[in-house]
Amino acid sequence: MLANARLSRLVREVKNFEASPPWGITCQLEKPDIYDVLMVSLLGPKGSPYERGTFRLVINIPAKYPFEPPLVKFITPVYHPNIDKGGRICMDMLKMPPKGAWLPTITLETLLVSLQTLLANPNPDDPLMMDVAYEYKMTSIGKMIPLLL
Amino acid sequence: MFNNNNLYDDVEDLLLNDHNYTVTSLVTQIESIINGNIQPSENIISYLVDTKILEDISNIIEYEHIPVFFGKTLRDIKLVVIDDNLREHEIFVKYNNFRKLVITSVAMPHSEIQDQEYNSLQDIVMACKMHVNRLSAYFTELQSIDRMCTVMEPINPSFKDDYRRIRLDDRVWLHLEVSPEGLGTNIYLVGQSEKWNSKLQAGLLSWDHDKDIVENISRVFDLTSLSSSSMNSLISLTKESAPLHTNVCSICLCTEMQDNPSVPLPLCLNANCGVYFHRYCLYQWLVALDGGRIPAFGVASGSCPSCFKPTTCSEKDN
Repeated sequence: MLANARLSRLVREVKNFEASPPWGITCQLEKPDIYDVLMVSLLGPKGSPYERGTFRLVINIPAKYPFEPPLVKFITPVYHPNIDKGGRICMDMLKMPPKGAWLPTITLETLLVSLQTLLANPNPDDPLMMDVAYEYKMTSIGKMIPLLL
Repeated sequence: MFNNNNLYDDVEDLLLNDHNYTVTSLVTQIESIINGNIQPSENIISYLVDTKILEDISNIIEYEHIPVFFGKTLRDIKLVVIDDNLREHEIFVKYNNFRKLVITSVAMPHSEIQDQEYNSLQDIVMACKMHVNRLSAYFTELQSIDRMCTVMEPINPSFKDDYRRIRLDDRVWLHLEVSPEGLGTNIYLVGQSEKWNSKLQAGLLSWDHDKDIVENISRVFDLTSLSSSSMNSLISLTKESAPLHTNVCSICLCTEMQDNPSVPLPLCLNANCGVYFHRYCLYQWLVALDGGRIPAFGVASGSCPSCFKPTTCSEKDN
């Protein structure tokens, strides 16, 4: 039963990605007909430092999906306050409540679009990379000061 | 005359023991055995084919006028029995052995006729005819419900399912079961609604078993018509106006689930939350939210994944 909800949902999600992919995102099965690992390529959002970058990610689908969040990792190295050197991502949507904010109503599409948004809008108050977050905070304050003056 | 036992032994020896024959050499072997053992006889056919069943089939077609179909193999037989009200009933029969026939599937609620072994197709036809005529009221009631009401569940209603879920409005369905005598039993509402519930409570007391079920329902709920298309209620049995299943469960993103006949419903207790879920999906989520602990009394609680208001969901329907 659990497996059925997982499989039927994944089949639909992968098909949707093919039929109407969101801007700059492709998501495909690593091996045909095996709904365990998905390979993603994601374009950096326009107007951000990541613009024109192509980021590759891997999604592992747990057995209890969608009752558990998928495991998402960057393969391409990213310099970002919420992404560490191993490609692990700190985003509350990827964690189970009560600590996180995963919901079974979140689709892979919404998840990847949110990731794209995270690239453009880091969350320095919940950092994974302290030094990057510090730098981000300092430079963005630095940028704001001339505006105030 | 020939020695029958000898023939069997020889052929059996040929087939069972590992001789590693090629197909051609096997056939030659069998041929030589048969030629060596027997003089041609009219009787030979009766050892290879069960002529009884062939006779049986021809009798049924000729005298009972019942069409006989064969499935994947000649052992899978389908009969179409027509009852007194001209309803057609398909009966699937498996020929297991000489004088050993069983009914594998019929579009009727399970009954003792399926548990027996029969000598001949004739016996099966007899038993089924008796049975379908006994269930006549049951079939009539189900037919009129399917014709007059919008049936949400089962997805493809047949005589095999003895229950129906009838749409009252977007959020509320009426569940009822039909007894073999054609009476409505175990009637309750699926979904929360004060309005429908009070009508049902009052109506159940004055339920009139002499009238048919559809009449009773429309009286209890003051409905002029329960049909999705009242104008052409007579043709609504055809596939095109079959139930409007457009609602998708927002957890598994599907309408139909494999191995699970239930369809998505607005299950959240919050009356303003109109999001559809499979009972199974919402229950699994609420259990997962609680760290996977199986809840007491089969009722899981937590916050709705859509509106975040507190809600509950039981594992089983009612």
